[in-house]
Amino acid sequence: MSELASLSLERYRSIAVAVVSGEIDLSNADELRNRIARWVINDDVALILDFTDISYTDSAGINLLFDLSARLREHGQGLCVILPADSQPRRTFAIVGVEERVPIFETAADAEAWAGGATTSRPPREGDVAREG
Amino acid sequence: MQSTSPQIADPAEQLRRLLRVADVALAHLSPEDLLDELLIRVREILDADTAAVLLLNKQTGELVATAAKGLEEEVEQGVRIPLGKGFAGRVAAERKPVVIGRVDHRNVLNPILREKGVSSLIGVPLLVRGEVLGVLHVGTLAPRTFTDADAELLQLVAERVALGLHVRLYEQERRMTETLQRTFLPESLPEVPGLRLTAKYLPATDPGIGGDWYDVFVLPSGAVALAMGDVSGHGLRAAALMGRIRNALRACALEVENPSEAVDRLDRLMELLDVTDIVTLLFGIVDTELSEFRFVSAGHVPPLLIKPDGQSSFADDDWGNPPLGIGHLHPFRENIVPLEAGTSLLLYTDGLVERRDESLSEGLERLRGVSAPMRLSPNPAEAIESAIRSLLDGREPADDIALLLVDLEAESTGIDLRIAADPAALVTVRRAFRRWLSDLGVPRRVSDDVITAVGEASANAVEHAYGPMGGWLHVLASCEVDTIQVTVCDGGRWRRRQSGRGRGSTLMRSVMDSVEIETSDAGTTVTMQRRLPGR
Repeated sequence: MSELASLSLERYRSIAVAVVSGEIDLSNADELRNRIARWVINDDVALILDFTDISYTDSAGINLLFDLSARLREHGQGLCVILPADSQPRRTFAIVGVEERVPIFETAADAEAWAGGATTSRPPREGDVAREG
Repeated sequence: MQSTSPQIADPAEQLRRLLRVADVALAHLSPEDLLDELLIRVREILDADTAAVLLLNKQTGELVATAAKGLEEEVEQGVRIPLGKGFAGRVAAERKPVVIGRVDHRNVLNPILREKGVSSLIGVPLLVRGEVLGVLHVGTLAPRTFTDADAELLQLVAERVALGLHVRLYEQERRMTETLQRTFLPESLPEVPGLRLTAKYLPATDPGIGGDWYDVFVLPSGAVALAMGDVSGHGLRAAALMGRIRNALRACALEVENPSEAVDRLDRLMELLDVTDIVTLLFGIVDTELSEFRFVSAGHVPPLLIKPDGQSSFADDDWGNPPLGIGHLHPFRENIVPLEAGTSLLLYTDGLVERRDESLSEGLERLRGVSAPMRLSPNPAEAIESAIRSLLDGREPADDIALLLVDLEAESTGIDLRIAADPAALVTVRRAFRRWLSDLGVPRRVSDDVITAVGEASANAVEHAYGPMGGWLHVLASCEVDTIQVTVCDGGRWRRRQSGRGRGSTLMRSVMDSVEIETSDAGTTVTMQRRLPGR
């Protein structure tokens, strides 16, 4: 009743999962991004953002996504999003071409299959540690 | 040798003495100066050496030296005399003048009176409405016999002093009460699109400030929380308790998912808050988007719904939860009441419906009977007062009365929203549009597009128009035949610092049929249109 968006953080094997529900706008995007970014550890091969229950996002949500994507790419970690086909966030993401940078799946199974596959393309871990400095 | 009062037999002199203490010029003095001036005059007219006022501290039962002439040490040393003990204590206990012709150690407790060498004393109680506020006494160094006329005169002065002190104490309590009232009643009610909120608080005439309180606040989700509570008991202690409960409830409401959890938490906190009084509470959330009122009643009188067809009914409470803080087996359970457009919701305390000579259900029935004119009244404050008048029917309110009237707009014909340009304003704008577009019957897909565009235009104003001091945001929308017209204005200039701003404009242009952005020194205005399908 109180929060604009709620966040639950999970981890399956080496895949970090952030389930966000509610609405994302300027008032909560930074906090959400920081909490999600802190959840991802070096051993994770990928992060799945489960936006299935997001009913609204503005461009602050797109900034959140691109920001996380850039950070993870530096560490050779993957990022994908789960979003149903017919939703305000999906159409908003489509307008600015989110899908060209971040894969979007409609089901958790598809997202997990993609994220599991990201393991094979993952660069050596030593590099990650060095970069974290 | 023993003297008697000067010129006691002369009636003209007696009158002159009376006029000295009844002097109208004294009325302009502050209570402190009045006390000083009266002590100077009383010492003069009674030809005495000392004059002092001791006030009763009700908590400790002691008389405390407060003002003195010729005995200033008494005040400086903060002399305290227990009630009933010593000279002053005896005056206060007996509530009548006491005269001591020759002071000895047995009947005077105050060491200063003894050290000063005071020989004779006369003391009178300071009385207001039969209640002892303190003692006034005068003394002479030379032995002297105080007469009845002296006692009468001193009693007259005492009345004047008591009245002045009473005014001062009353003034202090009133100021303290007002300060406390600000801690348990909101200073202003929030502006919520689609809702009109009106509150009324009427303290009971006799016991003074009572135990009723209410609160209204907007949750981060944009829904509105309403609270109406009643603490048994009156006075400053009850007021302070209400302040604590109000703050605790706000904190609980922010951390949980629904009203019943918030009330459960508050209930568990009651022990920490040191609450032993009976506290009833009605706490609920009005969600205009879901068109519902979710509430929990902890032993409180039921909320009244006044429907657009003029029918009023009390919201069903299926649970009968007990008041707070008494311990109970089950968690508090909540009710959900649908709210159609044009409905009004009335929250109140039992002072509104309870009369000593009838049952609660009769009182509720009378409230239902007078409720219809309050709904969407052009002057809600006057409508509430009129309803209270007819319920009181000429009686003075025996208990506090608090009312909170929530009018849901009949139908939104458009949007005209002026709010602070703050990130938290964005959800308020979206909610207003969702409700309006839903009333218009606009398909979900189109509604999403319009809200996306309005959201971006508003976010630009919030993020880029103003410096750290912030500013305002004005959002207007209407539907002309088959076109939705939206205008978003601010009073600043968009700074082109952040890359995200271009993305916002791209989004607006993609989902609307036309977008114009005009920037001038006075601010930025975004005008957008979207045609409705099949109209």
